[in-house]
Amino acid sequence: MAFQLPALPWAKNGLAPHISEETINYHYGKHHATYVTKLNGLVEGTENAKKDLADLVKTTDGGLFNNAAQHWNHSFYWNSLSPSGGGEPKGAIKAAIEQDFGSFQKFKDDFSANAAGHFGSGWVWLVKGTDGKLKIHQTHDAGNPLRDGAGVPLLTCDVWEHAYYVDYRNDRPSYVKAWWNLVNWDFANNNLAKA
Amino acid sequence: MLKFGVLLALVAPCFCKHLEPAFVSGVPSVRGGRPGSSRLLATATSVKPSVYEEFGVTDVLNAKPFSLPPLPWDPMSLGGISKETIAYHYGKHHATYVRKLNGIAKEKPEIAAMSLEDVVKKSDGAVFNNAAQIWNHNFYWNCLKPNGGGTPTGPIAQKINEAFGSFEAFKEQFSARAAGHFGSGWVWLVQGADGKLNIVDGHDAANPVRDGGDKPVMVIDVWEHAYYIDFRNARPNYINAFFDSINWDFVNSQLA
Ligand SMILES: [Fe+2]
Ligand SMILES: [Fe+2]
Repeated sequence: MAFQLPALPWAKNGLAPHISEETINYHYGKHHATYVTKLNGLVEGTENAKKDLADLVKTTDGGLFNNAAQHWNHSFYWNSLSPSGGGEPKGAIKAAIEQDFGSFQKFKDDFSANAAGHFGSGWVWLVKGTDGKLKIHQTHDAGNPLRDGAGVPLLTCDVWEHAYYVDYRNDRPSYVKAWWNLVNWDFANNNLAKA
Repeated sequence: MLKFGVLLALVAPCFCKHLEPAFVSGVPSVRGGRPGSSRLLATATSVKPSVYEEFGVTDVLNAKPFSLPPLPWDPMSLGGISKETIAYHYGKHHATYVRKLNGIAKEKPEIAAMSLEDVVKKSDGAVFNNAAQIWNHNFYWNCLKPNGGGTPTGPIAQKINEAFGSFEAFKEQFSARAAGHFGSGWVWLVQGADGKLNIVDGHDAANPVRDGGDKPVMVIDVWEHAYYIDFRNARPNYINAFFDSINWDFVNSQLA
C-alpha cells in the first residue's frame, strides 16, 4: 500500500487569519503532497514500500530519507496546530514545561529564538529527551528527532520559508507568533502521555 | 567594452569613497583583484536613488565595514522576477545579512579588518553564513539583467559547448540541478583549475571560493525566498525566468 497524504485535522481556512488558506493550499496541497508522491515513486517495487514510515525515517538516506522525513514532519506539523489552539499550556505538558524551562514564558522565548534563528530550511521541535526532560531541538532540512535520537517529538514548527512566505514574507518572527496562537496543547499532551 | 569603460570612469571615484571595503571586496574581487574586474558593478548608476529609500536600505548602502552594493539594474525592469521579489530579496534578505555581519564586526575587530572574501574563506558558523550570503547575493544580482537571457555569445558560448555539448544540454542540466536541490542553497556554474566549466550545488550559504579552486561564473539562488512571491512552489518556472534574464556579459567577464 502506497504512502498517503493524510487528511488535514481542520478545514483549510481553519487556521486563518494566523495561517491563510492559500498557505495551506500550497504547503499541504503542493509541498506535502509532492513529498508523498516522490516517496511513493522511490519505494515503488522495492521492499521499502511495505515498511512503516517511521522505519524509513530512522533507517534511510538521501532522497528517500528527505521525502519520507518531510512526509512525517509535515503530518506531525499539521497536528501541532489547531484552530482552537494557542494560549497557555494545560495539563501534564504545562507542568513539564514549568519544571524543565522554569516558566512557560521562558520556554516560549527560547523556542521563538530557536525558530527565528534557524539558518536555512528546517524545523524546531519540542521533544522529551532520553533523560526524560523536555528540550527544544532544531533539525535542518528534513531532519527528524526519531532519526537523530534527540528524543520523542511533542510539537514542531516548520521554519522552511514556504511555511510563511505567502503570509509573512521574510518576517519569520511574525509567523512564529502566529504559530503560538495555534499551538495544539492537546496534541502535545497526547504525545507526552505516550512518551 | 566602451560602455563599461565609460561607466567605470563615471563611478569609480564614488565607488572607492563610499563603498569600500565591502563593495570592493565583494563581487569584484571574486577574480582575486584581477585588474579591471570591478567595472561590472558600474551599471548600478542606472538605478534611481529613490529605489533605495523605498526599499529601506539607505543605511546599509554606505555602511562600514561591509555594505550593500547598489543594484546593477532598475528593479522595475527585470523580466519575470517582480519588483516585489527584489524589494524583499535585496531590500530585506540581502540587506539583513549586511546588517548582521556589521553587527558581528562590531564585536569582532578581526572580522571588521578583513575583506568580505577573506571572511567567506576563513570563518565559520554565523559569521560565514552572513558573509557568504552577502557575497552570493552580490554575485547573483550581477548574473541577472533586464532583457538578458537567450543564447550566450562570446567565450562562454564555446566553453559551454565544450563542457556540455550544447547550450540546450547545459540549460537542461543546470535547470535539473537547480530544480532538484533539496532545501536552501545555490547552484553554481564554475570554472575549474583546468579551465573547464562544471555545475556544483552549494547548500545554504555555501560558496565555491571557500571550497577552493573553482571560480564562480554564474549562480542561481534556489532559496524559496528567491521565487515564492512570483512563482510559489513552482521552482522550475523561476528557473525559466532566471534563464530569460541571464547577464551573459557578466558571465563572460568572470571567465579566466
Ligand atoms: Fe513545510
Ligand atoms: Fe537569496
